[in-house]
Order: sequence, then C-alpha cells, then structure tokens
Amino acid sequence: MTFRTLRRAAAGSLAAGLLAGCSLDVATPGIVDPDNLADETSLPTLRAGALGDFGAAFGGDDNAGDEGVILVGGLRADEFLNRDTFEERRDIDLGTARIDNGSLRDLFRNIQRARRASEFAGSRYRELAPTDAGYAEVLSLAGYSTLFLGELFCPGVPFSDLDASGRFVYGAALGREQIFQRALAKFDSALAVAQAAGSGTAATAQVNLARVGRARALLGLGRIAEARTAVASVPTAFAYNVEYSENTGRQNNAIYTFNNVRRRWGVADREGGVGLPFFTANDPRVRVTQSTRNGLDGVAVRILNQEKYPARTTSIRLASGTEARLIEAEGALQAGESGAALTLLNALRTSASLPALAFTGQTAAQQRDLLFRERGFWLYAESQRLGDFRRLLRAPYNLTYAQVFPTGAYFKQGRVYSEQPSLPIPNEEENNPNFSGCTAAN
Amino acid sequence: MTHIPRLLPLAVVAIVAPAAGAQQPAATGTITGTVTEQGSNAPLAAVQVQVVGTTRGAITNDAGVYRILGVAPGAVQVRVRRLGYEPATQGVTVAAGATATANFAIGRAAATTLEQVVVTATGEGQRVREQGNAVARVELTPDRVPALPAFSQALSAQAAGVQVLQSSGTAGTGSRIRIRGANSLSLSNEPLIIIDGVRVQGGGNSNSIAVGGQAPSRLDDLNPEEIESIEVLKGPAASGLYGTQAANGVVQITTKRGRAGRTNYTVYGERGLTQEVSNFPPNYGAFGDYDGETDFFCDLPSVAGGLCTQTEIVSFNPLKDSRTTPFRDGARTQLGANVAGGTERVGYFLSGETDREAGVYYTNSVNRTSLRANLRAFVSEKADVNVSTGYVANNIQLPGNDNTFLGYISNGLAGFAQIDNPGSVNGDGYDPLGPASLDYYQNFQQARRFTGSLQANYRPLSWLRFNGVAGIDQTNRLDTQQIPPGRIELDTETSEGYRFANRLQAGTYTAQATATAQFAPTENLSSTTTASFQYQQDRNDGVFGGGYRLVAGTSSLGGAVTRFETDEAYGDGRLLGGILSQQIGWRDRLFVSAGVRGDNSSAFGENFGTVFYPTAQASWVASEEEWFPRGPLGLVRFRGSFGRSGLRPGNVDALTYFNPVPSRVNGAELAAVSVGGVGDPDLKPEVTTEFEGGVDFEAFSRRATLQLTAYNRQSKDALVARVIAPSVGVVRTRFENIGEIRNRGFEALMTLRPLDTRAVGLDLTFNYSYNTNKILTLRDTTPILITANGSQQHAQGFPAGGYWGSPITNVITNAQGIVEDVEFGEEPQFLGYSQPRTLFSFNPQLSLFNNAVRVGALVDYRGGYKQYNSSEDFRCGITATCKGIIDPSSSQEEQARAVAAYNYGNYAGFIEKADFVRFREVTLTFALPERLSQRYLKTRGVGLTLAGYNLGIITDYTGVDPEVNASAQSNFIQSDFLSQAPVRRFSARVNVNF
Repeated sequence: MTFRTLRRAAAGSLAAGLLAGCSLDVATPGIVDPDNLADETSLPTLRAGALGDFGAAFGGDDNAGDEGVILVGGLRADEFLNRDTFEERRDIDLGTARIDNGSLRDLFRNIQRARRASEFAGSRYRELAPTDAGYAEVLSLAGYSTLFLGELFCPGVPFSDLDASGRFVYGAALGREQIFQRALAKFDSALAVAQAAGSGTAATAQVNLARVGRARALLGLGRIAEARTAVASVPTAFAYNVEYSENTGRQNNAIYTFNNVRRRWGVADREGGVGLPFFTANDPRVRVTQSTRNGLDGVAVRILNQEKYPARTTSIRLASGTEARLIEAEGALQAGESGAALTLLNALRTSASLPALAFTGQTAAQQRDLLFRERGFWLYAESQRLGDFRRLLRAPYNLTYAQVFPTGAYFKQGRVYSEQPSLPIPNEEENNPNFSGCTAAN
Repeated sequence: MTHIPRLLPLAVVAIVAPAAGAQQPAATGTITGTVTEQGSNAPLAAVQVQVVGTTRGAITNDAGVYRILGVAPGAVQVRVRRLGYEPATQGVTVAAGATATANFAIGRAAATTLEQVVVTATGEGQRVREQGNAVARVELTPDRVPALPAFSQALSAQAAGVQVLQSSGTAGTGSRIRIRGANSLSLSNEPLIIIDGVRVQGGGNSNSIAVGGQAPSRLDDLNPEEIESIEVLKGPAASGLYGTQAANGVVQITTKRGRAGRTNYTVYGERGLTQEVSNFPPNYGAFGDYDGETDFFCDLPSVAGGLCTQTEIVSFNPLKDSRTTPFRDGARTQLGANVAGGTERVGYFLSGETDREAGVYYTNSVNRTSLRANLRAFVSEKADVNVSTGYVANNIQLPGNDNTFLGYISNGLAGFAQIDNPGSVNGDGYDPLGPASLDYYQNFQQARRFTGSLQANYRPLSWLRFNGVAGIDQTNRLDTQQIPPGRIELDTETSEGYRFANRLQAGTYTAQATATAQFAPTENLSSTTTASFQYQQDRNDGVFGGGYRLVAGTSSLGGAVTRFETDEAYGDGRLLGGILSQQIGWRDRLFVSAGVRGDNSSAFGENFGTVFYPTAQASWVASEEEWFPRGPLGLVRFRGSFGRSGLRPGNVDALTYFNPVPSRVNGAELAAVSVGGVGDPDLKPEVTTEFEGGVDFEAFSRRATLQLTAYNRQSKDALVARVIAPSVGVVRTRFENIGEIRNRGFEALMTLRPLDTRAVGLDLTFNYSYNTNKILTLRDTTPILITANGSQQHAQGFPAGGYWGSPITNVITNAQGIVEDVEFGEEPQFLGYSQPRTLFSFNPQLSLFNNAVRVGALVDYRGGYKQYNSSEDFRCGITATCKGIIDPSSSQEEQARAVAAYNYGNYAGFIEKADFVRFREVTLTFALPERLSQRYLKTRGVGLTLAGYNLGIITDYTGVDPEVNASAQSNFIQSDFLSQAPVRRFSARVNVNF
C-alpha cells in the first residue's frame, strides 16, 4: 500500500466518519412516545396519569402555583379568603373575576385536561380491558371533572378533543343541564363497568364512587329524590380519597401549602355576613387555628389556618358515605320527611361526638339552612361548597344571591363584594369557534 | 495606545483573479519591499500586500517590510491595503529564482473604506465594495472598554438599527439585542453570534433558578479586551447564507491575532466605582378620624367617600433611608495582560484577565477570569491554519428583585410608610422582609466555558481554495439557590431552609467545509464560485436537584433532610446545510451575486423536508466610473440586496408526546404520564425575507461620510405558540405556522471629521434608525395575551407585543378636587409599542496634541415607545402606598390612575411614554507619547483612561427607569416591576505597553 493510498484511505475514513456523525436523528429520552402506550401493560400507567392530573386539578398543583378546584371554589364561596397580592385571586374572592383572569384560565384548563386524561385512559381500557375496575375508576374521574366544570363555571362550557391525527375536534358549548347530564352519563357507565368487574374490594369501591358521583350529578340537575335513591346503598364508612405526597411539588396537598405554608389563602369566618363561622364555631369537623402572622397581603389581620389537611401528604376526600347520608337527608327533607332527615344528620353527628340537632319549632327554611350548614361543616374544603351555593339559587330552593353568597364590605382595601354566582369561562376558550361565552349567569 | 484598525489576515481574503487557464509554474520567485506613510516616510506595519489575481500575499512587519514567496514568474501587479490609508497598486516583473522589489508610500484616508473585508457565511472574506448590504462595524477601542459594564453594552448605540435593551443594573445580568425590530412572535429574536467562524451560545435567560426576573446572558462571558472586531449583519439580506437561525441577524466577532514583528506586551489595571442612583419613591400612608375613632387608615378613596377625614400623612423610603438602605457603593477591579507577536509565518496572541466586581447589593458580585490563546501559522506556501481558544470562568452572585417576595426592591417599594410598622419582620419598614433577612438569600452561578475554533485554508491552485472550520462552544454550569434555616421568616419553607443545585452542560458544535474558485474570464470580469457544507449541533443536558429543611451550617444537598426533588433535561438539535453562490464583478466596481442555501433540521416536522434560502446582492461604485464628475464628492455607491433566512422550531415542537410524572396510588408512587405536547406534523421553519437598498457617500477626502439604508423585512409562516382552546384538554400552546410579521425601517450613519490636524482631531458620528413593526396576519387564533392581565398582546394589525388597555375617559372629583371615581372604555385599545422604534446616537471623539489626550462620549436617544410602570400600579392598586392614593396634593392625573387601579384593576394610566436621552458613556484618555515613554519609563506607551457610564438621563417617564425590564430577557414582556435600574459607573484604567 502506497503512502498516497494510505492518505486517500484516511481521508475517506474521515469523510465517512464525519458524514455518519452528521445524522439528523436525535434522541428524546425525557419524553414518552404515545406508541409506547398502546398495549395492555400501559393501562396502569395511563390510569395513574389520569389520577395524577385529576389530583392536580382537584387539590391544586403546588409546583405550578395552580390553585385547584377546592381552593378556587372555596374562595368564591365562604370557605377561604384571599391573603396575598394577586389581583386575580382577590377578584375571585370579591366576585369580580373577568374572563382574562389568570387563575381561572389555569383552573379551567387543568380540569379539562384531567377530564381528557381520564377519557383517553378510558378509551384504552374499553379497547383492552373493558371489565377492569380501573376502567370504572377513570370513567368516574371523567364524571367528576365534568361535574366540577358544571359546578364552578357558568353555563356554556364546551367539551372538545384531539383526534388521532392531531386535529382539534371542537365541541359545542353546553348549557348547565347538558353538562350535568354528561357527567351523569359518565357515572352511569362507571357504575355499569364496576358492577361487571366483580365483587372484590376494588370493584366495590368503584361501585360506591360511581353511585355517589351519580347522586351529586342528580343534585346538580335538581333531581333530589333520585339522588337520594342513588346513594341509599353506599355504606357510611365508604370513602374515596385523592392521594397526595411529598414526592414532588405537583403532588403536594396545595390546600395545606397555599394556606398553612405560604399564607396566600386563609380560612374565612362568617364571610360577608352570611358565611359560616368556620373558625368561631370551634367545630371539630373543621379544625382552624389562628396564626401569629398576617397573610402575605400585609393586611393586619391574623391569618386563619385550616388543620383538616395538616401536611402536604394529607389525602382529600372526593366521595364518601358521609356525603351519601347528607344527600339522603336532603332528599328526605325535600320529601317532607324531616324526621328521617334529622335521624340521618344526628347519626353522623354522633360519629363525631357532636350533640344532636333538633328541628323543633323550625320552619322549612330553617331546616334547609341547618342541612346546608351541616353539609358546609362535614364537607369543608372538599369542592362541594360553591356547587351548593349555586343550587340554592335554583329550584327547588330559589334563594336570593344575598341570602347565599357573601355580600357587603370586603375585609381589606375598602372594597365591596359583587354579585357573581359562577366563574366566567376564560377567554382563551375563544380559540374554539363553537364558543361564545357564558350562556347564563347560573 | 493607538488602536490600529486591522484588515483580516490574508488567509481569509477572497480576492484572486488569475489569468484564465493559468497553471502553477514549476519555479517561482519572490517579491519584497517596504511600505511607508506618504509625507512622514514612517514605516507602516500591518499592511496587507497581495499579488493581484492570486492568493499570494503577506503582511508588513513593524519595519514596514514584507516578503511574498512562491510568485509565478512574469509581470504582476502588487496591491497594498490598510484601513485608514489609500490603497495602491504597482507593477513588477518577477523572475524564477530571483527577488523583485516593490516599495510603496501611501497616504492617509478616512476610516470608512470600501476595502474593509467582511467574513461571509462560507468563511471567505469579501470587501465592503462587493457587498450589497450595509454592514455595521463596531469599534472596541481601548478607550471605550473601561466604560462598558458588560460585553453586550459594546453594541449599544453603535450601529443603526441595533439596540441593546439593558434589563437591569444588577451586575452579572444580561441584555436583549434586537436588530431591526422583532421578527418572531414566539421564537427567539436574538441574533446569531459567531466567534472566529463558529457559532456560539449568546443567549440570555441563562439561569435554571429564578431570582425574580433577571438572569445572566452568555454573551457577557466575552472579554472585550480579546476582541479585534465586531460586525453586525442586520438581517436576511445580509445573513441569508447563514441559514436557519440567522433571520434575526448575525453578530460576527473576531478575536485578536498576532502579527509579524516585534512582540508587543500590554499590561493593564482598572479600578471602578458603581453607585445606585435611582429615584425610588417613598411609601405613603395616611391616618384620619372616622366616627370618633382616630388613627383610622384614611386613603383618598375613603376621604372621597366621606368615610374619614385625614389628620396625618406619613411616608418612609426604606430603600433610600440611610438606616435601612440595602445599597452600597460597588467596586470593580480588573487586571490583565496580553502578548502579541510573530513572524511572517507564525502569529500569536495570548491574554489573561481577572475581573472582580462587587455590585451595589451585598449579595451581588461577578468574578471572572478569562484566558485566550490564538495562533496563526502558514504551514506552507499553500496552506495556513488559525487556531483560537478561549476559556472563561465566571462566578456570579445575584440578589432577588423584580417579581419575588425575596427581593430588596419588592419588599422596599411595597413596604410600609413607617419604619416601625409591626408588620415589618426586621423592624425596618420593609414588607415584610428587610436586608437583615434578604442578605441570606443566596443565588450563585458558576459557569466554565471553552470556545475553540480551528480554521484551515488550503490553496492547491492559484484559483482554487479550500477552507475548513471546526469549532466547539462548551459551557458547564452550576446554578444554586439556598436559604439557610432560621434566617428568612417568610413562610415555613424559607424558615426551614432549602437548597437547589442544578448542573447543566450546553454545547454548540460547528463543522464547515468550503470550496472557492476565483478566476477572471476577461480583463474586466471577475468570477467567484463558492460551494459549502455545514453541520451544526446544539446539545444540552442537565440534572436538577433540590431538598428542604437544611441542617444548619450546610451548603450541600446532603444537608437537606426532606422533600427531595430531582429532574433531568436533555435536548439535541441538529442542522445540515449546503450553500452555493456565484459572484460576478465588473472592473472591480460593479458586483452582482446570487446564492442559495438549503437546510434540513431535526426540529422540522416529519412532513417537512428541506428549506431553501435564496439571496441576491448588487453593489455599484458609481463614483469610479470615468464619466463621474470629479469634485468634493469622492464616493457614491449604490447597493441592494435580497435574502431569506429562517428560524427553526424547538427540538420537540413538532412531536406529540407525554411527560413522565409520578402519581401516588394506593399508598405507592407509580409511574404515570401526562400529556406533554401536541405537535403539528406539518411544522416548518418560519422564513424571513428581506429587501434592503442603500447608498453610500464620501466627500471632502472622506471627512464626511453618509450611509443611507432602507429595508423591508417580512416573516411568513411565523411560528406562533398558538393558544389551544382549554376544552381540548391538552397543553396550553402548540407551535403552528400561522403568522406574518413585517418590519420596515430606515437607517442612517453619518461621520464628520471637521478637524484633522496633529494638534486637534474631531470625529463626530451620528447613528439614526426608525422601525415600524406590524403583525400582518395571525390566523385561526384570538389575540395572544403575552401577560396575564392582557397589558401586552400579539394582535393582527398591530405591533408585536404592543401594550393594550382601557384608558381613562372621564374623571369625577368631589368638591375638594379629590378624585372620587373614573370611567374608561369597555374594550381595550392599542396603547403603544413596548420596544423603542426610533434610535439616535451621537458619538463625538476629540483628540488633542497628536492623540496624547482623547475625549469621547456617547449620547443615546430612544423613542416612540412606552414602558409599563407596573411598580406604581402595584403600589396604588394592591398595597395602597403610592402618593396618588394617599396624598391630596398629588396631581389629578396621579390620583385618577391610582383610583382606576385601586377600584377596578385598570392599569392603562401606568403605560407611560418612555422616550429618553441617556448620557451613556464619557471617556478621557491621557497617552504618554512613545518617545517619552521609552526615555523615562522604558516602555513603548503608557495611557490613563477615566471613564463614566450612565451619567444622566432626560425622560418624562415617572418610574425608576424607562429601560429596565422585570422579565429580563423575555421575548416581549416588558415592565418596570420592582426592578433595579442601571447604576452609574466610574473607572480609572492604566495601560502599559512594552
């Protein structure tokens, strides 16, 4: 071999090496290709993902600074007060939130994201394991996500999707009744799947979850008697919890971090005249302590800390036998069976070592108020309160806004509450050609 | 020390015009000679000498002597060129094996000249006279360097159409660079940075841990002392052949090289002072009587509502009060040395510098060490090699400011009206934390960066040249943030302490091979044909770690005991490009060229292949035509260019994928997924097309020059992070090619030299530019809100990132003239540009006593835009501590906007006109003449430079500073929100040459 040949060989090898190194194929190790989630072994991963997205929408995402259903709904109702300097949060509390509100933008998207994650997981279960209890669970989660949209936001919420080719499939805006009907359909499907999944512990839990969910949807439709029937067989001891952990910021219980750690949310006490005395009542169902510090807003009012969720790892109850009994009590009261209602309420109170209630000499309105007060304390910071407020404005209750929502002087900055029974759908939804804003106030 | 402007080394000069069909002769000859200055007969060093029509040449040494080897026998023309002097050409006959002599005496000329050489995208050199576009050259004279707070400021107000937007006065924080406006709505608008032929990282927001807003920029790693020249190609008309990522322009940096002759040693030292000079307003409060109760908080809305009567107005300024201020006078110390020298075959430049700056906060500092070693070698008559290597070790400590509860300004400007307010944790009027706590907020960045390039030129034939470039820019970084336990009582997390430590590596790799053929088909025609291939790769990866509840005394993740967080990031983007270009020249005065570049990238969608970028240029030096009338007008050149370039999407923007996440199920952490991206498979690069035309004039022996340029630039298929309707249930945005943006503008550069004698010299430089930016189309989307409150939007028919709001239409006052209420429109309207449209700079340079004393200044005007005084909006609307909400003596305008913010959250009154004139730089240099230096100090030269930076500002803007930006190097978000304004600097520097 001559030197010239060697030189040519070296040059050629170098060129070949350079060309080989010039490939445009790159690795993306940090992401998951959807093609890798196509078989039955991926179902637990998809289910866990749906649970994770739901948990972030429900209890908040501390890593992203997103508040979640409980914090926002509770803020609009009478469970919490804004204690930081974010205008958007203060506006939600005051009832002056606009369609460009950043907190609502994130909340609306996160709930829709949780809904779709559940529905996507459900579509895979339907194809690969249609009798699995996990299928029932993700259907119920889809139902609850839909419920949240109906309970928190004004009527006119669209439900859209992404098809297999990556095209957006825009849904039409649904009225309030349509939204709750959609949720009801999810729970109906969940119940059917759960009942077909056998009688094991997991399947039984999903049956009860679907039943409570159905009942909550029926309450939203004003079908209280049906709701009562729906939960009759749910045991009082039943509880379905959404789990949280310290593993990542996203998995923290954000009610604890936003209130107890960061002093951005505070527990409300007799907010706006008609709010419940969550602090001064000294009720063991809602443990509240007064901090030595003010909130982050600098206002010289000591912040009230909830102790229901005392750590980042505390789970949050989504559905329970307690809720089932309360729904039954409401159904009994609506049916004129005040005695049955009282029995149900007092049975619950006995379990918490609380003295019994009495309906003696009370009007129907007072009994109603007592029932919703019981709901308020039993289900404090469990995403129920704003939905209850809005139901009270509708049939069969038909109360006025001032009878239900906080009104009058706000606790800081000399402001005054405005009338806003529901949260406006964020203007980013205007990128959906089928969307045209809220179709009603409630 | 006199700075000698240099032409590029002969290795990259692309001028050859061999006789047609010429073959390399077997025996060759040599040409030698001396180049002197006409009149003084002083020898001239660094003169480029070339045999016309070949690649043979040399550079004169300190004695003015040159020597060219390997010249083909026969009659040849020898041309000499040096910036600041008239070029000259002489004929000589060379015999094989013999030496011919050609001596030159050349006269002085103006600094701007058509013979300057600019490096092109293929690595070749091209004279200015051949270029169809305006190229801005930034001079970094030794006089100017002491005044610069950071490298990016070297570009500020130096070139028409180039603006450097300084985000803050915190040492170690970066700036944004915009050339001819913003092209892209969602991708970066920063220009491409090239050093010695290789692409490098120059991006801002170079920090993985937030401190409220500001972040370092990798561009500021560069040491101005190492820089030979900076050229700015302002848009695709000039930079099209640089391909994808060059749509925003190119900043081309060449580092110093040695030259033949005596070795030159330089040692320098600098000492500087920085001062905080912002007009931070105090916090106001008022007390009054209400229903028998005294000391009731009684702001103006309460007074107007009849709720109370004010009895006392109080105010306190924690940032300015000597008992509570967090500020100190900063200091800067710089020590450096370099050596440059070489022979006709080898040249070298070595340098080292340490730079220590203590900022105006006790928690702000920059410590930088930079080293450079450059080598140029002619390995044979036909080949030369250039190696340049640079290393920087940069340690930056940043304070918290802007949008954070852990910032000095945020706690001070939003603080209390009394020093002893019980809400102040440290009892100093800050809300809630003062310097006694905030000094424990520890944010550090350690960056270790190596930049290296290897350029090789091989000229096998007189008409053929090969050029190869390979380069690497590698940065290793450690970003840390730590709060020790028990020091910052903001909330539980800060009280317990935490630490984050992120290690990142970012590498940019370039390889390019070019072949150039140059020949003269006829006596009057020249032809240059170029083909080039290029490969680029950007790779970054990082590992992120954090933990909470630190053991006291630890500064390590090992000291954290709970809530550990880990993450990892990886990114890889690759691009393969090819270039083909052809230039025809006629009589060295008319040049026409055309070219095309094709790019394929790993980031393009799977349905998209290769993108092509054509370019075309023409340049005509009309004044060299025989028919052109002779007179005071010495030069008239017409030029025009067209080019296309683009920006590519991110590595995963075209993909649909899930992110791995953990999820707790039944008490166990399980692997889960959450939707991460929904890519558009048709995603393609956005393409920017630019037309540019201009004319250059020189008159009165180049004592007056004028460059006029107009441009029209349009970006089609603009990549927009289009907001997805939330009901779809996926991520918030997806990149789609749905936009069209247009930038149009006009630029003018004028230089005057009214005085030019040995005793007095005066140079005046004026830069002017005006830009109009407009979003022509934004398809299938509502206006894109850039900020949460909608104060900035991208909207069709309006400038990108414009300010929007509902201005006050009516003010209602009570009988005492106090504003009770305001009215404003329902729908927001366009309020103004968020970035300057009009730039004007004035740069006078006075030299006295044969350059022994030199005075320079830079005055900078920016106008046609607004600034969101978000600090005052916050103080009025949220904390109720601004003057307009408290003090009835405040103007009606102040009160009205305060009431609008307080009652309605309306911010429009705080979008203020931000035009300003800033006295940016002043330098005064005393240079000891060389003969005196040699006689008394045994040196070749000693100089003392006194410099000042940011010496004053004239503006109607009522906030802290019209230039600051709380969102640092964000693409469009612009606001003055609890931010640190530029500081004032003074420095003294001594240079000694041996």
